[in-house]
Amino acid sequence: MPRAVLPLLLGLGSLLGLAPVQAQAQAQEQAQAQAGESTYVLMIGGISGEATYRERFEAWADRFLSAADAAGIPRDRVIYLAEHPASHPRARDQSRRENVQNAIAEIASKAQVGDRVLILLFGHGSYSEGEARFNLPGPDLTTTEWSLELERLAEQRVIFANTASASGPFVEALSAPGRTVVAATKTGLERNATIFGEHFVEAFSGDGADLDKNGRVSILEAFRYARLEVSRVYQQDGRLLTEHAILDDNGDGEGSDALTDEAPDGQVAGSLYLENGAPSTAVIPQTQDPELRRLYEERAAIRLRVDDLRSRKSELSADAYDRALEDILVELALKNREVRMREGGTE
Amino acid sequence: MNRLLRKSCAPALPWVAALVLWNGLQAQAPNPAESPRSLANSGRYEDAIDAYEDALAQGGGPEVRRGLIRTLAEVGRYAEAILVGRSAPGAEAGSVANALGEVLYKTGQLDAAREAFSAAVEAQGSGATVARLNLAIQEHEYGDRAGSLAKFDVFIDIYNGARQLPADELFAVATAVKYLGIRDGVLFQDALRAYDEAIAADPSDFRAQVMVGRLFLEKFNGPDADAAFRAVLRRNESHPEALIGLARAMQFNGTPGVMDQIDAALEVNPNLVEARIMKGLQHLGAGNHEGAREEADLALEVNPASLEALTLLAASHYLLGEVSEYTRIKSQVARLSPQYPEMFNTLADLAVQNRRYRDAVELATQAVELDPLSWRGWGLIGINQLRLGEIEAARTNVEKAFQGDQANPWFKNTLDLMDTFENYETTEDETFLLVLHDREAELLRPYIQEVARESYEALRARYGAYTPPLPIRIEVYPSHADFSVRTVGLAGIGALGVTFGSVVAMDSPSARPLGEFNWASTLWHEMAHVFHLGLSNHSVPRWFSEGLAVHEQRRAAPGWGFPTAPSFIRAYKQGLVLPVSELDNGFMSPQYAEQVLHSYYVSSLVFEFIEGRWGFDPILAMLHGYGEGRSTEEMVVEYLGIGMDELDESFDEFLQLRLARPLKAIGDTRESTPPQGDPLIYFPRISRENPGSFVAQMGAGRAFFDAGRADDAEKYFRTAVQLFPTYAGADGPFWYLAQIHEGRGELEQAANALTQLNSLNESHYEARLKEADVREEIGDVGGAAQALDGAVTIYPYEIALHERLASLNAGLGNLDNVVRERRAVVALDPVDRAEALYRLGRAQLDVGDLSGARRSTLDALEIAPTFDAALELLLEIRGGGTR
Repeated sequence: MPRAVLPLLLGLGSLLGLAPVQAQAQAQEQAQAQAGESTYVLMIGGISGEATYRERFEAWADRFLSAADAAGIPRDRVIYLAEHPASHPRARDQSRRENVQNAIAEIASKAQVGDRVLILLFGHGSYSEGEARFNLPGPDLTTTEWSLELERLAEQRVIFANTASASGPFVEALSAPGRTVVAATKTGLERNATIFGEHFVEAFSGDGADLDKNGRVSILEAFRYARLEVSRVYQQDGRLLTEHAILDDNGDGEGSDALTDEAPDGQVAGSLYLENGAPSTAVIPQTQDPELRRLYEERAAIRLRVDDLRSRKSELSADAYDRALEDILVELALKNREVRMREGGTE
Repeated sequence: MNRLLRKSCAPALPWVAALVLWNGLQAQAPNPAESPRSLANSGRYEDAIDAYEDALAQGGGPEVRRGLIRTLAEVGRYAEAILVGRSAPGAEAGSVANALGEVLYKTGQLDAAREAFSAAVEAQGSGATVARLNLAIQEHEYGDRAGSLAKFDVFIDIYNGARQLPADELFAVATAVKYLGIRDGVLFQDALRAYDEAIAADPSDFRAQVMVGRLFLEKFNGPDADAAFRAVLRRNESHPEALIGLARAMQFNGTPGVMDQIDAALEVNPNLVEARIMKGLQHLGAGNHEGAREEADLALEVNPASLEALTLLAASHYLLGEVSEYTRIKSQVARLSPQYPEMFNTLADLAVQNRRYRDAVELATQAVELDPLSWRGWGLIGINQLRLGEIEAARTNVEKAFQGDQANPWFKNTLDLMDTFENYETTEDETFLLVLHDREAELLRPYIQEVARESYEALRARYGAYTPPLPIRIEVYPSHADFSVRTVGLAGIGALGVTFGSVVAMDSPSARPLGEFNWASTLWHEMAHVFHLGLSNHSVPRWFSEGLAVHEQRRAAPGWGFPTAPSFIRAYKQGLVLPVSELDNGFMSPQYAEQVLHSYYVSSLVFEFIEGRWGFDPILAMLHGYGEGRSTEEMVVEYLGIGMDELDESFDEFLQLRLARPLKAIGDTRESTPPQGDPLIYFPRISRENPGSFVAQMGAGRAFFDAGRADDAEKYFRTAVQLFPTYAGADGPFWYLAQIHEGRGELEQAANALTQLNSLNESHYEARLKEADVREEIGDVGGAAQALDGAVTIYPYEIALHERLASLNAGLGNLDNVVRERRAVVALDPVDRAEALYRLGRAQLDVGDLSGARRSTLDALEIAPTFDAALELLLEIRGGGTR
């Protein structure tokens, strides 16, 4: 399937008047996004400390496991290491250091080049003497050790999300090209228990985080959703915000809030989804109907023109931009109608 | 000339602390000598005077005579002091001339004082340096202010040229440097240090310690001033100048009991001019002109040349519009002291107290014309220009003031506040100029505009179609500290809003914790003030305007305005609530912690009473009358047909009827019912023993409710309602009854209980949400929407609230309201912004706003270009709204 898309998109690039190199790059991105890589998940529940937190972390884990199911990730590619594995049917083992290492090794042995690996941590963190830790039953892994473990996944696209307190230093320690690192706090000094994990999970399991309405939730959208929700909750409760989540996906070791498209990070995370493949709206669906296929292709071309126009916004006056955007969007809307008619829908 | 004292000024503050400690130790030590001075220093003035007189009779020298003069002067026996001074033998005359001069000066005998000071200087004996200082001070106060600075400047040389100065000369240096501080603020620190050195040189001379307190006050340091005066009073509890100094510090710090403190000073020295003037100003602040003039006259009897006393008298005439008398006194002051700016500054301050901000600017302008170094004057001009909405002129003048007096927190805070104005958005039409912080302007604007417009039209119709000066500027501050600075120049004001004529400043709903106030009710209150101030030409007394504004709140919406608080009932029973004729004192000089709040409430009931018995016309006529300079007393007679005493009596009768039930149901003092043993046994017993007690019934109701026995709880809550039906507390009986009914599925009754609660309490957010839930459940969509509209007036920052309101209004067909609510959702910057914009676009299209719909939809699609529903909406918009 990717092979089929590439020449088509290249053709569209010239059709739309895009510079060939730019069109090619976009097409490659689209193609890459559409690749049929698999997603592996390693979810780790750390030490909860008290019953309230245990319930909280287990609830988050449950919710995420459901989201992973809904996303079509085969259960044999989801490893859950829990603090109390006996109390959860899907927990494979206790989240002890050696089990974490073994799980990473197992994924590394199974995953193909380009596969996605999401490592998701729920629990408490700590920070002392310049070293941040995620608190596991038994000995912890230091950030240096985590970094070494992740080297096993050098050929995969890793999303490492530490939702614990004092998780900020993980960003600098684990940052690498092709790797997306999310931390619930900006620094190791933000030591209060966090709620970022709850909203990060909610982004995948609820219906409010598909911010660009493409039918799916990217890692970036989940991050933005969680960050803004955390902020809102603190504000509503009249508390000072004590967790400032950051994301790094450009490998520079510096996390950012990634809340706007101008932020240094977010490009990679914006193209990563839990599900296999790319967002439904960005691809040309498979069809045996040549007429429908033509319509899909034309619609995809219009969408690329929207992207192109948006990228040139700063070069245009506000009026000119609005007019051009509206014209293309109307074209897109009409094409949508044609697609729906052909698909058997009604107007 | 910009010179400093030679030595470092760093130790100044530690010195004071050390001295306070030292003084405390001294106070505990035995006093072996019981010398006249020690008797005077311990406040035994009569004994001291007797001892001095005995010593003098026994041939005591000039030191004894000086001590006697000063002691007699300290208790106000000025004539005797002068006699003692004048009767000094020729050889002693020079040595006591300065002490004599000081008494002559205090009694307004300026020429004689000048001669005495000059004689002391010529004699070059003890007191010569202080006499030189006194000549400079006299020149400053009554002569050439600018020229006097050169005379003060000499003292820096005296200090720098001497190895060690005696205490009185250090005192003189410190005082001179203090005067020079007007030219260079850094010198105030040097003055403080020199005073400390004077104290160290002679700890038994309290003058320097009193001056330290005054210096702290001049530099707006109330707590240290308080401590300095108290340190003196610990050693001499009768020291008149420390007593009056403490009164000033208490006034500055907002400590209750200022008047008592002034009286304490006057008890020791009935001729203390400063105390008379302060007392007179207190009277003036409370609108008691008779009392103010009496004090001014008493002060002038002692010192006919007292500029402050003449200022007090002038102020009374000025505020009452008695132009000829005011002009006469103004001329008298000008003759006495051609460059004296403080009369105009004081008048400007009083004009501000009476909300006459334009007058304040004009008066302070006269002050700076007389003395361009009057930083107080420049500040008064600028701060009041700000109150009048003249922002740029205000900035220029406050900056000038701040350049001259950088320790002034009003100036600094005001400039800091003005620096934030760039973060505010302004929206203007012919009636309103709305200034909102850009962080929340998009959200708040439509709601505030709606309430402002509604209140304006309602009040205009009610107040005889009067049009206040337009536009009315409404500033809304998301930071309470900024609002506070805007209002009084300092953080910490307790108010929610303030009106400076046609300029309103108020807290934003985000400035206070959820449930602390209702911004719409507050805005209505302030809008009422706009009319009151305009109609009365800013001359309406505080009690009248506040009471009437609360009355207007209460008329505007159920539950708005001050509720009947149990603390008010208790205060009334204890006789603390003032009669109508004295209500202004409740605002201007409160005597107990809650008196201001109680004064708002009781004043509002005065208007309920007047309007109910005589109609609104007399109230309107009185507002006009205040503008013509008429007094409350004469207008009560004319418009109500009764005297003030009768109004007091008949209002009290009204009050007893109006509050009959809570007066029976609330005890005289705060009731405390700590549970003893099983609450389910204890509280019912208490309620049986006190069947008429609201608190007892509520206690039993809560005990059963908390135990999950709602049926048992209900009867107690019902009894509580009967006992005190207007109790508006968040935890009142209606709140519990609503929950009990809801628990039983009696939703109609639950809704009614919540409606009753919300019609008593303007800021119960949770009760409004709950009422909306229940009403929606019983199909009362309109009632649900109304409850949520009420919630928006308390806390408009929850997306879910606006989502619900949009949905309810859509169901009711109130499409304009749907747009408003959808716009609020977008303004709150939801995570799913594309969806919110799409829904706004849809709502805008539904009301035919094609342009707005296009904008919102394009914005949604820019975020989410593949958003199918939004794309369809765009096509609809392009098609003119047809699908």
